[in-house]
Amino acid sequence: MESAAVSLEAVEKRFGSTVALSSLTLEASAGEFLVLLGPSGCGKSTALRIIAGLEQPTSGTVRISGKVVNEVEPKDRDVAMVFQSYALYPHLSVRKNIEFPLRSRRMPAEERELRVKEAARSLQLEELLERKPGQLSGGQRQRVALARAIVRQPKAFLMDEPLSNLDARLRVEMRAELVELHRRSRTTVLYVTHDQVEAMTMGDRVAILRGGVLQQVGTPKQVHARPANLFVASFIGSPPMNLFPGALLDDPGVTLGVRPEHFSIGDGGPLRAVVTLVESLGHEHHVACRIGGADGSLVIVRLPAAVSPPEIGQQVSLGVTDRVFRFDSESGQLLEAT
Amino acid sequence: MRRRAVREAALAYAMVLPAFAAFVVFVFYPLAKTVDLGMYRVPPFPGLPSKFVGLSQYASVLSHSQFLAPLWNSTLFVLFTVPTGIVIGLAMAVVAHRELVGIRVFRTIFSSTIATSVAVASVIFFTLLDPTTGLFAYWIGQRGGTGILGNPTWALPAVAVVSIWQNLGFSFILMSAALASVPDDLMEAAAVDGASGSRRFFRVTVPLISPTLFFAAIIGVISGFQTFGQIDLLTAGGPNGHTNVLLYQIYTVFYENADTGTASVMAVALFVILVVLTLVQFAFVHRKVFYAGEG
Ligand SMILES: Nc1ncnc2c1ncn2[C@@H]1O[C@H](COP(=O)(O)OP(=O)(O)O)[C@@H](O)[C@H]1O
Ligand SMILES: [Mg+2]
Repeated sequence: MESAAVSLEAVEKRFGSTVALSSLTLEASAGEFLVLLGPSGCGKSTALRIIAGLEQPTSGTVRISGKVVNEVEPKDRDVAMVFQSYALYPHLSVRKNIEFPLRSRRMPAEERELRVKEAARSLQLEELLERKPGQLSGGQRQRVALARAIVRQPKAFLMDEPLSNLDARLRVEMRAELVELHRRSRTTVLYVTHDQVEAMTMGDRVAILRGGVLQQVGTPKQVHARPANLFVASFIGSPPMNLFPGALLDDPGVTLGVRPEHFSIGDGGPLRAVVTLVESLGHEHHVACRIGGADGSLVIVRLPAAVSPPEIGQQVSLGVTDRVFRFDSESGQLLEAT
Repeated sequence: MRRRAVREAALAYAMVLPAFAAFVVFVFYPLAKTVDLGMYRVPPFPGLPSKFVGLSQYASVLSHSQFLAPLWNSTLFVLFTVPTGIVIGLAMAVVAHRELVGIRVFRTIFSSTIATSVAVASVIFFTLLDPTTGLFAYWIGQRGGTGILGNPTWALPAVAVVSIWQNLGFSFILMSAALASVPDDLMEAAAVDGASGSRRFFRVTVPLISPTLFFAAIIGVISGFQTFGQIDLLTAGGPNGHTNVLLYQIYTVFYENADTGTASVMAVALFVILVVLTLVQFAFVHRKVFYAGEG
């Protein structure tokens, strides 16, 4: 099956008085890895479920390969979904689980066998085919869920926080594996996560949602370099951007933003600060400082591992080495990045 | 440590004792007594002493049509009621499972027969099925005569319908609870996986609720073999013994013929049949039934 563009046009979804999505317009082009990023409850799952056909939009249009699918049943949309819970069929063996979508489509037995074998091999499940999901570890279940999705060679993959139930190490491994899978198959992926690191490392583009409203769409580089507003600025990047509402400029209408990695410490910079905490992570240091006395604003500075960090309690001077963002305090919109 | 283990064990036994005592008094003793009574032949005229005949009475009673005919009726009754009751209960549960406006009203109506007793159900249907004044006779346009309960072919199915109807509320509630326990995301995964409605139902829902189906089948068979009230109130075993099920026969032999020996043999036989059927169902169905968590 050909990979397909997936698009939402002015999609709105209400549950009673809750507005889960308001006028969402978004398109994943054919073969793209598009990440939907946002905090819990912002409508990411709802958007994915609308594309899968598991929810009806209150208004708006859903297209797959350019065709309007609002009235098409989930089973006929030819997209595969990976659920956060994996949703494996507990009464079926791994083999039968992977085979399920093929049998649903009445594929002949030999081809089924071939496809299952191939999917099992690409996710290293060959040894586990006769087990039941209850006998698998979390990581193995996750692989089965992926195998069940890829075996169909669908038009698009919809993944709803597929890695969130894995431990940190497996998550990093699977991240790489998913990217690799996408690179090989070149099938459209819509990937939902609340983890900005996942979003930034995996996505061709990232769409940031907040309270059902789309904030910004762009490549990881773009949303990092030019966050459209304060929300995106503070959501993307780790540690998050330092924001100084009004105070520094004596202009309450403007909020300044500086990323932690764009501060330097101790080379005669203009800002006086006291170090309150140092976290050394091995590959970098996070230094928390307070500018302008005990009740001044807290600033997080990110230093490379090679730089030796200051002591707690030490007086330091801070300088800004790279761009400063200026946001409208009222609307939160980015005014300029210099 | 050992002393503590002994003390704990003693305490555990002490706590089990009351339940065990109740079992001895109300289950084990009556059962043993019944087995024993089955070995005494009761003379045809009252006043004469019973005679110990041992197991020969078991052999003679169990091969006689006074036992075999009611056993067949009971078997038919179970075959009529159990599968139908489960299928209809499940179908209603599937309908009521959808979130539609006003669905609560239907849920209440569907479960309402749980609030009726066998006696109430029997009286309702007795009235409906009355050959001269009943609605049923009016519907089929055939008033008078013996009516359906007096018809040798239709009496047993009619009583079965009453039982199915009366148990429908229970069946519906049981099946609704089972459906509610099937995770939504599995059904959604199956839908996205391209499975049609019927494939989702038979390949996902049914296997996942199979423990409940199994439970309903066992309960149904046991209660089916113990049917008494409907028979007593609707047909009294007639016409001509066509609805004379096993328990009703035991009752007749015991109270009306005062033949404790024969009645005891039949009662023991009914007990053994139910135990064996349950074990067979367990052994046979267990392989097909999926228990969640078993992996
Ligand atoms: N079936 C539903 N009924 C009512 N409200 C819902 C339902 N599904 C989601 N919502 C609401 O819609 C909003 C978005 O939910 P969701 O898409 O699950 O968020 P996310 O996946 O980003 O955490 C939340 O406020 C949630 O409570
Ligand atoms: Mg979600």
